[in-house]
Amino acid sequence: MASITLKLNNKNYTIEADPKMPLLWAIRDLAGLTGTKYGCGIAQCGACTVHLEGVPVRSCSIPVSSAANKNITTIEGLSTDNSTAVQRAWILEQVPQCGYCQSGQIMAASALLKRNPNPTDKDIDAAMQGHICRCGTYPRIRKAIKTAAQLMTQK
Amino acid sequence: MNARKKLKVEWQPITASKEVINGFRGKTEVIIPAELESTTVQMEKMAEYAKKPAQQLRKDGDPEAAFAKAAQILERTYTAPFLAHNCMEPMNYFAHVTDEKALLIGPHQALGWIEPTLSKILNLPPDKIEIQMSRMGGGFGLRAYGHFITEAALISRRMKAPIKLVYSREDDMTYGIYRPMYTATYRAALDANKNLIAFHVKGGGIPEHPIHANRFPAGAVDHYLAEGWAIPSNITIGAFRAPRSNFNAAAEQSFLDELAELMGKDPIDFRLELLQRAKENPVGKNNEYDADRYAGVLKLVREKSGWNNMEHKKYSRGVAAYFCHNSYAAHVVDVVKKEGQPYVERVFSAIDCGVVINPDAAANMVQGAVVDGIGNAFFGGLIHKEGVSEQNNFNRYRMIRHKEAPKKIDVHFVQNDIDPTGLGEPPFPPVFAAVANALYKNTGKRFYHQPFIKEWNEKTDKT
Ligand code: FES
Ligand code: FES
Repeated sequence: MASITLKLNNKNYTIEADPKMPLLWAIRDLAGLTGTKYGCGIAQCGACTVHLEGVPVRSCSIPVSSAANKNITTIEGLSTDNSTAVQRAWILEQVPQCGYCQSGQIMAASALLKRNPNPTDKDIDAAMQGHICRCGTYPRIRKAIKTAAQLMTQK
Repeated sequence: MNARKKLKVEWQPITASKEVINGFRGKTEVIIPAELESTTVQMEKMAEYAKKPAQQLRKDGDPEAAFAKAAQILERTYTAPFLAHNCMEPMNYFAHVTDEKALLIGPHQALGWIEPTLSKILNLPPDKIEIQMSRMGGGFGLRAYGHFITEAALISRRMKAPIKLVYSREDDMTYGIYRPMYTATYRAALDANKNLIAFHVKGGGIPEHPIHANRFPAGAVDHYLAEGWAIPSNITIGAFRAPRSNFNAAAEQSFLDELAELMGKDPIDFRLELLQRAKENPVGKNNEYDADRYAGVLKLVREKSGWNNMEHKKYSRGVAAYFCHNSYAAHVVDVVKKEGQPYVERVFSAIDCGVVINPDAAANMVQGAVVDGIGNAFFGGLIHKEGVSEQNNFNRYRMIRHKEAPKKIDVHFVQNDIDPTGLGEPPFPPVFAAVANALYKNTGKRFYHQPFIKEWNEKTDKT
C-alpha cells in the first residue's frame, strides 16, 4: 500500500492503494468516479479510456502509481453541463443505446478532434477501432464525430 | 480484479445427470452428459445425428411422395457455432442477505423469473426479498438469467456483509449461457417445369433444435415437412437475441435465395409469390405469420433500396426477410471488397412492428441489430476444447469494430395502426442471410457455415 495523489479533473484525490492497482479501479472504487467503465481489463475494448496529460489511455492497463501527480481527465471532467462539441453532437445524434461503452467512445472522440479537428473516415476508423460497442452504435458515432467537428467550427 | 486473478479455481468434471427444467416449453427432462466437450467432436456428432430419424414437428400433404417424383432436388446444409453474449457490462450484482431478508440491486432483464429461484435458494419468502433494478450495460438475453444474482446473494450470506460481485470479462465469457450450436438441412423438390412442389427442413443442435415449424414457408408449399433433433450437452445455453430465429433465418433465407436462382426467379419476387399463395390458399393450420405484412416489408425494402436499379451495380446486393417476435423485417445489404475482405458498406431495412412510438430510438435499435448481425455472421463463435472455451476475452473473441460497421443503415418503418410488437429481436435474424446472399454475389460462392470470415478466407484463398 502506498499513499498516492491523483489529479482527477483538476481536483486532488489522495488515496491509499497498491501501486500496481490498475488506474481504472482507483478511479472507480477509491475516487468514486464511476463514469469510467470496465469491459475487458486487457486494453482491448476501450471502455476504460481516460485522458492522461491529454492523451487517451486505457486505464485498466496502467498502474495507478504511474498516473500519480499527472493530469487525468475522466468523462466527468469534460464539462459540468454537457457543453463540449462532442457531448452536444452525441446528444444531437442520439448515439447511445445501453450507453456502457459511450464514456470511452466520447473520450476517444474528444482526443481525436483535439488533435485533428477535421477527421476523415479513415482517421475516425484509426482512432476508434479499439473501442467496442456491443450495441452497434458505430454508424451514429461516426456521424456524431463529424457533427462535432462542424460544431467546433461554429463557435 | 487482482484478487480474482490470484484465485486458483480447480474444476472437476461433473457426473452425468438428469434434470427437470421448467422452461417456455413446459417441463422437460434434460440429460446432462459428463464428457468434456470439444467443437470438432461436436461437429462430427451433428453430421452423424443429421442422418438419423428425427422428431416430426409439422407435416402437410405427402412430402415423401413429392420428393420421390421430383424432377430436381436442391439440398443444402448450414451450420453455426455457440455464441457468447459479451454484453459490454460484465454480469454483476449487489447483494445484502441476512437470515431475515435480502436486498439485491443491479441490472437485469426479467426479475420475475428469478424471484422464485432466489426464494428457494435463500429459503426466504418472496416478500422478504427486495430487488431493485438498475440500468443495463446490454442484455441480449443473458441478463434474463440469474446465476450472477444467486452467486452474489450466496456470497453475501456467507460473508454476513453487503457485497458487490463483478465478473471479470474472462468469467463472463467462459461462464456463459450461450446461443446453442445449430445445423439444418433444407431440401426443395421441383417438378419438370421448375415449380416448387415440396419443402423439407430438418434441423438439429446442441442441445436443442432451432426449428420454428409453423413459420414461412410453411403454409405456402403443398407438401411440407419440418423435423428436429437434439444432442445433449453440458454446455449451458439460453436466450440470445431472437432465440432459434437467429439461426433459422440465416439458413432458410440463404436457401430460398439459392432456390430462387435455381428456379430462374428474382429472390424478392419468388418470396412474394410464395406469400401470395400463403395468403390466398394457405396450406395447413397454425401458420404463425401474416402473409400481407411479410410481403409488405419485402416490397418496402425493394422500393427504398432501389433493388433492381442499375445505379447500385458497384455493390454486391443480398436480400433477406424474417418474421419473429410478432414483427417483420427485411434487409438489403450492399457488399464491396475492401483490403481483400468483404465489407457491408450500406444497408436498407424495412420493418413492420406496428405503431412506432419513438422513431429515432427505434431506428437506432434496428441499426444496432444490423451491426450485431453483421458482426456475428462474420466473426462470432465460441470454440470448445476438452470442455474449455478457447476464447475468454476480446483478444480472442472477435467482435465487430468501427471500420467493419456500415457507413449507412437506412431504416424504414411500415406505417400502420397495429399495436406495437417486438423490435429488439426481429431485425437481427435476417441480417445473416442477407450478408450470405451478398457474399455469393461478390464471390460466386455460397456461404453455408458461420462465421463467414473463416469460410471467406478458405474460399477466396484458392481463387
Ligand atoms: S477495460 Fe480497459 S480496454 Fe477494456
Ligand atoms: S451503447 Fe451499448 S455497448 Fe455501446
